[in-house]
Amino acid sequence: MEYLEIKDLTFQYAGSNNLVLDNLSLSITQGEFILICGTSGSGKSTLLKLLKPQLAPNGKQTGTIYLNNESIDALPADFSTGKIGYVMQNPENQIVTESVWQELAFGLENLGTPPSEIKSRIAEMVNFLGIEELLEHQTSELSGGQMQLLNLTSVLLMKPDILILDEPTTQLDPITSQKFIDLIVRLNREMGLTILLVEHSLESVFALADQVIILDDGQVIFAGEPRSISNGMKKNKNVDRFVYSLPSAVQIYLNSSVDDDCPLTVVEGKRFLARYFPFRSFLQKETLTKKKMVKSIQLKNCWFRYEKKSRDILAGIDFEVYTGEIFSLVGGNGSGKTTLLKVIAGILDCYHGKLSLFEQSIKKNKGVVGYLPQESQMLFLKDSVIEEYKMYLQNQNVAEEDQKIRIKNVTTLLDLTKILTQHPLDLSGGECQRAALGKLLLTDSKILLLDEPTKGIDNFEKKQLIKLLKELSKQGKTILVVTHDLDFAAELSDRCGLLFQNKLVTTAEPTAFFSHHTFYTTAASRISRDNFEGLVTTEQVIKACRLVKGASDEPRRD
Amino acid sequence: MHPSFFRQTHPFATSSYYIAALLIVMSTTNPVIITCFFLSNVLLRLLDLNGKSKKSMLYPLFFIGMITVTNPLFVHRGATVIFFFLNKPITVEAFIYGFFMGMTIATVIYLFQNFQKAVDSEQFFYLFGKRFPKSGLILVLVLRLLPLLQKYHQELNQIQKNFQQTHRRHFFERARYGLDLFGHLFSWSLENAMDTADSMRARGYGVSTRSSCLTYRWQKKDTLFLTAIVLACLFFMVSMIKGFYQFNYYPYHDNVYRLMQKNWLSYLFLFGVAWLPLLKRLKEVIVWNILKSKI
Repeated sequence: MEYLEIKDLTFQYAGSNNLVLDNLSLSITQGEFILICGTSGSGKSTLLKLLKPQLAPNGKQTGTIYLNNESIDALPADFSTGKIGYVMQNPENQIVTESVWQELAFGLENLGTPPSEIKSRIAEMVNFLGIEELLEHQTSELSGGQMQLLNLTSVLLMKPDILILDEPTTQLDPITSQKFIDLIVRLNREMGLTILLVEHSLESVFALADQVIILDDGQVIFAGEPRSISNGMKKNKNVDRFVYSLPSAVQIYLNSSVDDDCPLTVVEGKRFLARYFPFRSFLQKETLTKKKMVKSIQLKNCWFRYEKKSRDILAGIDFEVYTGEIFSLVGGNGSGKTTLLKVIAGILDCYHGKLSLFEQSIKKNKGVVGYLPQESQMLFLKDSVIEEYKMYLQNQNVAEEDQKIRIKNVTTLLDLTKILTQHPLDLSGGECQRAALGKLLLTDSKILLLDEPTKGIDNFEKKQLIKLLKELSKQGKTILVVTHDLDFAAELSDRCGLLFQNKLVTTAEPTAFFSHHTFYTTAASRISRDNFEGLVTTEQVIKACRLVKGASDEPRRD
Repeated sequence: MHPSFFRQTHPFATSSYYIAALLIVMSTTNPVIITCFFLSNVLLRLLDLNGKSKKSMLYPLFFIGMITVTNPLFVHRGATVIFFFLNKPITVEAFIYGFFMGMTIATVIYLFQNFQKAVDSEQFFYLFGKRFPKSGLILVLVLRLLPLLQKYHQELNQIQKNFQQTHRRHFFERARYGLDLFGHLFSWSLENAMDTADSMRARGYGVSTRSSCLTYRWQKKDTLFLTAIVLACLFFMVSMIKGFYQFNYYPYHDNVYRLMQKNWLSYLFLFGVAWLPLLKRLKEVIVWNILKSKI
């Protein structure tokens, strides 16, 4: 029998008739790196929780999970606590104590480990991971990435055999999350830890996994090595909702008519394109005809800092966004992106510089700006979405008749019917974001500011969001997005800007912006730049493949 | 100064000093003792002052002013009448008594502040965590939750104020906004607490009896320190019973000098107790400077 064996597992939550997991069977060898994926609501998280007896949710369960031939429920509690490590999604909420030392020791203390051993284990682990500098901090001072690293370390200290990670990188920016994933891979390769990872952005992890398991509606629809799975998907086209989560190379392959092994990484994708498609340039000459457009947002030499003696967060920013344009601001952590949005939203005031909206001072333009914060639930104070909408409109002195019409319009536009009566905190990330966007649209805000809208939503929802925002911009709304997600920025925006060290370094159209950068760019651009010049999104590459398809389906001979 | 170099006194010894000091200050009304403890604690606090703690330094002084003013309004004992207010005598003795009562309260607050500085939450948890593991852990959790809540509240308030334009609204609307805000914060923290509880359970909270990774070595000087404190307490009690520290405010206040002359030894001893942390602190500064010159 395998190391971890799941046999005919069926589960439904107490008080619900839906089967979250439906006759699911899996077997996992010791030391494997397992990647579990699927769309929201496919039962991934439930499966992970059932694997950790301390977290098993309430409900009706049939079937058994075996660890080393023993039923997991029969294992003694102190054994299963230590042997099965579990890292959750939200970095901040998992932290229990105030100081990093205590946090690291927390698990070991619970198991009654003697102090001298706790100390030596912490010393060893901290050394291995190279996080000595964290020890001197309070937990509340850490960044999201450091917090998640701390959570992982405190689990590792208990010497687990299996490490379960439930979307550990969703709250992190791309560079930090890449580091985190690298670390997990290292733990797997060097320490032989069995790893079960749930992720929804697969660009970098997909090729690294020993086994990929794709869940849909509580059942395993694909399981196996990444390449064989991708090859299998080509034959079985019934995965449309899920396809967007896959790496660009795989997406390009699935949409082409080439029948070869699937490329998984950027390098393989490059080779794949070179082999089957001739070179063609898609570079467009820059259209120099600048139409006379209204500047909806204009910042002139804006300087901002939080406290008198702190450093500048915005240091002389000049920039403008035109009406009906979608502008994406990208940049690392602490480059001042969110602060810039807050200044434009009127939440913060810069100490020097001038902000004008629609070429007028902000005083004449009260209420034209709608700001969607990173935690979209912050827009809701009432117990249901509809109550919040009504109260908001009432505060704006909108007549009763008009209120109904507006709410109805927003509901149909954003597909909110199902969630109108729910509590905002019960909504999923994507739903809450739609509801929050709805609130901004109720008062017809002409400028929409979105702070990290892709955080915590899956790729399918991301596609829907792009569609929606493009639709809104066609209606004449100006949209300014701050994001870490380069693929999202490339696909969505009319112009992109890079904030670096509190200054705006470049602004350009996405094709120019991303095809000039070598590192700060999308995977699709890296794959295609040698073959199709001037393409930056996966969709563009797929289209290009179709365009030049006639040329050859056979390998190119040069 | 080198904080971790001198943080070697066992937290139990440090805590016993502060508990003893607290008991002494609270069990007497003697102006000499109170002034003495007040000055030593203010000075100690001034030594560790930084920008953020300025406010917490000032507000205990407010108690002195308040009680000095209010005590004569309610207490009309004392022989030296200054004037009559609403047909009631206002006396010098009541002023003096009020002043020293205010000072007692201020001293107690400074003592707590200094205690917090000397024994951080980690050491506190070490001291009380073993005896009261459940309540100790709750304390740690609360200490962790507070800054989180504060951060979230700040952000939420910022965003909501922008939406609601609260400054333009009536009192009732603003009150309702406050209630809604509180409701949101409450459900948010419950939601977060669920996650934290899961994380605790996943790491085996309650599986077996907890151990503690914190260890502090009990050194010879700690024994010495503790003995000194115990002796001081005993001495204080004996002097107290014998009435050496007896001081009457009403009807006439006693002569301080005569009292001190009569029982000089008891007072001298108590001065020593009051100035102990400050002397220790001074010694640390000197020792550190000597050590530093060798580097």
